Amino acid sequence: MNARFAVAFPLVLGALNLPCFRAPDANLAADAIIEAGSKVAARAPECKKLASQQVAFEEEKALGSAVALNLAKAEGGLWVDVPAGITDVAAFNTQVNGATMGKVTFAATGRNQLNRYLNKLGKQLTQHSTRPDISWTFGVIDAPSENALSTPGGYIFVSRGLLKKLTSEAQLAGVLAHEIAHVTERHSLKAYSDAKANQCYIALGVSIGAGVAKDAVADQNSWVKVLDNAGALDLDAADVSGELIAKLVDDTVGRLLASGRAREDELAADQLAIELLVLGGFNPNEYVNLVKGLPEGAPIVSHHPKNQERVETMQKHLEQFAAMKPDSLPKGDVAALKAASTP
Amino acid sequence: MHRIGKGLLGAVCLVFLGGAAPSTLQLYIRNRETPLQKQPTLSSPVLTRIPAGATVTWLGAGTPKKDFDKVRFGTQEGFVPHASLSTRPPSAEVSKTDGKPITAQAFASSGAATRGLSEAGLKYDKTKNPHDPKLALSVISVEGIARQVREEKGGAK
Repeated sequence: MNARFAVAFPLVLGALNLPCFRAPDANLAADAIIEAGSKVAARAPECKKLASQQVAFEEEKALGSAVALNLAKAEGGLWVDVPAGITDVAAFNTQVNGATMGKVTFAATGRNQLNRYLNKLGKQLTQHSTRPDISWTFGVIDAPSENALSTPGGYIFVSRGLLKKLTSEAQLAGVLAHEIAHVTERHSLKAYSDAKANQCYIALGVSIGAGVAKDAVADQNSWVKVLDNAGALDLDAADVSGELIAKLVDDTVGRLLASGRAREDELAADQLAIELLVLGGFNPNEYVNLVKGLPEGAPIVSHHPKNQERVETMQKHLEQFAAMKPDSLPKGDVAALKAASTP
Repeated sequence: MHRIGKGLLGAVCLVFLGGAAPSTLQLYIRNRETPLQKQPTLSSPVLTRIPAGATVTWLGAGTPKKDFDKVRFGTQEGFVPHASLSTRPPSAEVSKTDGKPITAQAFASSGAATRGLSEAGLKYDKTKNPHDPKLALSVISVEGIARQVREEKGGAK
């Protein structure tokens, strides 16, 4: 049993032991509700399996969309120019992601050009990844901090502060490659699967008894459907509430923020980044040197590998690619990059 | 939680036989029916077609531009586009209906891969930011730029 899951389970058992609030003169309808609630609650242990099931890309992308919005908001928004006059979110989304894409024009402003550049660079790396065909999206976070983020489904954001710190295109490619690796290896999805199992337990556990709120019943029905559907959760379905999505996303983000990524996930992402850099034609030593100079992790991520360990792991891994290692360093226009990320 | 990490550290998908000699570097073909060509040009005769996920032995860069690589597939030696190579096998996606693995071809034709900001994302945004569409519009704009770049023909550079 997964450690996080082990914590969630006793909490839900506690909920199951809550006294029933049925009045002594309750009618048969209330009995029926309780009986139905008991049947549903009996399925709560099945939620455990959700923690270990692979998530379909549709579900991953739906989660990633919400997490991307969550992170973008928390970090100060995105550094991009929205086409003038656009105010209807749903209509714009349909236009951008539908067949009419050709009609959308993004002005060649500095911000938009910077986003184009990032996506071109990202494409150069993702084409060699294990998930080349998913809809990768690279963007810039409008924040002075030095940070890079990735979400399930292929959203990768780099802060303006980090862009200013970089001194070569290969360093930026290394940062992107590291985040790409987190997505291809589905590292964040572990937190989501744990959150999913946890929310399933909570929904089914507390629903026993009469007087259950309407939205709790809706959540309960959603989770029963998930259990009946081999663990698949269609987050985009009309009957899945915004509240349920918010609970899942907030639970997932909370887990990631509380514990950060696992040490072995960070080291694995560095190793994969080295491979993507080599195949992408970038000098991986630029990324190794960048990591060498990073400030050590904050207390909240103190269990993460130290920079020295990351560097040594990458250098050892790099030896395997000595034959393929690019002998030249693509520079890119770093000055333009810095200018575009400055207000 | 640790399944993937251990798998990666314990089974790096590169095989080196007899030391670190370049000619024993094993790479994966990521595209379906990748042509193994006699010369490092797209117009060169096709010796055979290599299935996605197959391994080839890397023999060296095929051109100074490094847009082709010389590889050995089985007993045949030839050239493949550099963009078709990966250090690891393709990652399997699963079906949204029954959770079973699906082929790369089925995944590509399902339309799932081209999805942008989802209904769930929009619903989440409405729940969290009911009166401010700015954030969602900016994410969709970045997705639009990303999609345009993805759909541009030619190489990534």
